[in-house]
Amino acid sequence: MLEIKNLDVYYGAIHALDHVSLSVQQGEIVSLIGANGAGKSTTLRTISGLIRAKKGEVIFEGQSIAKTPPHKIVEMGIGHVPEGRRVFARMSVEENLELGAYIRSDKAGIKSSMQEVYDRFPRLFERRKQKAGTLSGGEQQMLAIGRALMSKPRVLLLDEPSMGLAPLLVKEIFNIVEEINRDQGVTILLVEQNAHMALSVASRGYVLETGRIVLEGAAKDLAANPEVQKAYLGA
Amino acid sequence: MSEALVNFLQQLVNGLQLGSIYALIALGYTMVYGIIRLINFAHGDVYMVGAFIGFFVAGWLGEAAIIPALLLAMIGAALLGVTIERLAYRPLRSAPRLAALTTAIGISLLLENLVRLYVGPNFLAYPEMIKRVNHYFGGVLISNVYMIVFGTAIVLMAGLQYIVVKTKAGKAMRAVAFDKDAARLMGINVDGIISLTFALGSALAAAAGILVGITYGRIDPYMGIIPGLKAFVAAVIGGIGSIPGAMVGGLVMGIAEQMVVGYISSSLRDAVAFFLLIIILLIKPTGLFAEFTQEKV
Ligand SMILES: Nc1ncnc2c1ncn2[C@@H]1O[C@H](COP(=O)(O)OP(=O)(O)O)[C@@H](O)[C@H]1O
Ligand SMILES: [Mg+2]
Repeated sequence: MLEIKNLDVYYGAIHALDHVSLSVQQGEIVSLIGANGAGKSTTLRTISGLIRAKKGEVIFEGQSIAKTPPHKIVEMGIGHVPEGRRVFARMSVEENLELGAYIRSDKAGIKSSMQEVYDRFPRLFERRKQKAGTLSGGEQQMLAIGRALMSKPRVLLLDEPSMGLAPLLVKEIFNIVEEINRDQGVTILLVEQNAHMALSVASRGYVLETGRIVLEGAAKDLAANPEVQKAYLGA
Repeated sequence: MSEALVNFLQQLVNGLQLGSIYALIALGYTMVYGIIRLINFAHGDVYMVGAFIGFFVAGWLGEAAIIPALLLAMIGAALLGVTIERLAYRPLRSAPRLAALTTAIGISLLLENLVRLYVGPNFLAYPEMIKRVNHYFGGVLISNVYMIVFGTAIVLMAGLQYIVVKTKAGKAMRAVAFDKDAARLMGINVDGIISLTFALGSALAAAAGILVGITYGRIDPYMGIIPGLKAFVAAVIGGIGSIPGAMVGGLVMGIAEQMVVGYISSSLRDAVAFFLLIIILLIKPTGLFAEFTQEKV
């Protein structure tokens, strides 16, 4: 349902992505793992249209979106939870969720989506009137995920949701990622440095190294691969 | 009431009126700065153009046409502001800030000279849109012109506050001001919201232009320069980027100016703004309602 082909992305003279290709099928969780600076965020930002590839294709449900503006890409059904959460710190939790539903105008539907988010993240409900900037890191991550779900995406791009969180919270976030995929049928492309967790929830994975895909395959094969274990699983 | 008290209240009332006009102009500076970090030096001239549109509408529809004059001037200025952003600032959005700032000064000179070319350099008498009736409240003069000018300014500011706080577009404006990429990921058309910001700020400035024309009875192509600077200082005093800050900053500026004129000397009228600017930069450089203190870099 989402496919990128031979992407080349540059930041000035820095060649951030070099012929990157990957695909995500409907209903899958796919993990993209790699060290800091490998180009994981760049891949997601290119899919969302926040940066433009110099060459290559991004195809979503058969349509090329490489030149589509980011707000149109959201309307097409791609949600993106950016690295570092990027919640609107000076707005309330509720306003953040409302902004997540910006592309929708079905008032009743938005309300029920908000209720679903609150059911999934009861702590957000307790803090719905609080400014997002006052939430803990874990709560902000939940808000960022909930906010992206408010647009009813069919594909969700998740950029390092475990970053900076305590192990128990990481587990909770990954459980939620699996739930969203299972219960709401949302297809997920997950970017992580935490390869262990990312491969444990995914069906397939890709390994990115300095802008190139160096390995790909079933998640359990990658997790068992000695090179991956050495480089990313601390074995 | 004692004469001294009446006098003080009179200065306060006059200061509030002047301040409400500075506040209307200051809002445009602060909103544009908040959203694209640009000090729009052409903003004072958009205010001037607004006053002239009102002048021509009244010439065309008659002196009593205050409401059409206000509406058409606000719409015209909104279109002007949006066009300036589109043609002059947008192409420079990723250029160094100095480029946009220089361009803004260029646009300012362009507007002043275009209007001057058309109407000449002299003062024009403003149509008497409201027949003045004086009312005294315990000795304090509050004319009907005063009430209409101050009332209009307050209603417009309340309207803006409503748009920004309550409406979807206002929430989008705040989101874009805070984090453009995150706003894009919400499906917000960032360029559209920037245009909307210019439209709102310019419309308020146009309203201020007409209110000034009505209050002082005359306009000219350079009328935007000094009030523009003062309103900019008012926005800095309030905390540039902050909407309540611009409102409070404008009122503080107007009252301070009127008090100095009333109690010290009217020759210090224009010095007040710079004196206030120096004080705020010494005591609280981020302004009263610091908007950009916790900004992440
Ligand atoms: N805005 C930017 N400007 C210049 N270089 C950048 C920018 N963002 C990322 N890079 C560079 O691009 C490469 C890939 O970065 P990124 O996609 O953020 O990696 P990852 O998400 O895997 O940590 C890195 O070398 C990084 O330094
Ligand atoms: Mg990253």
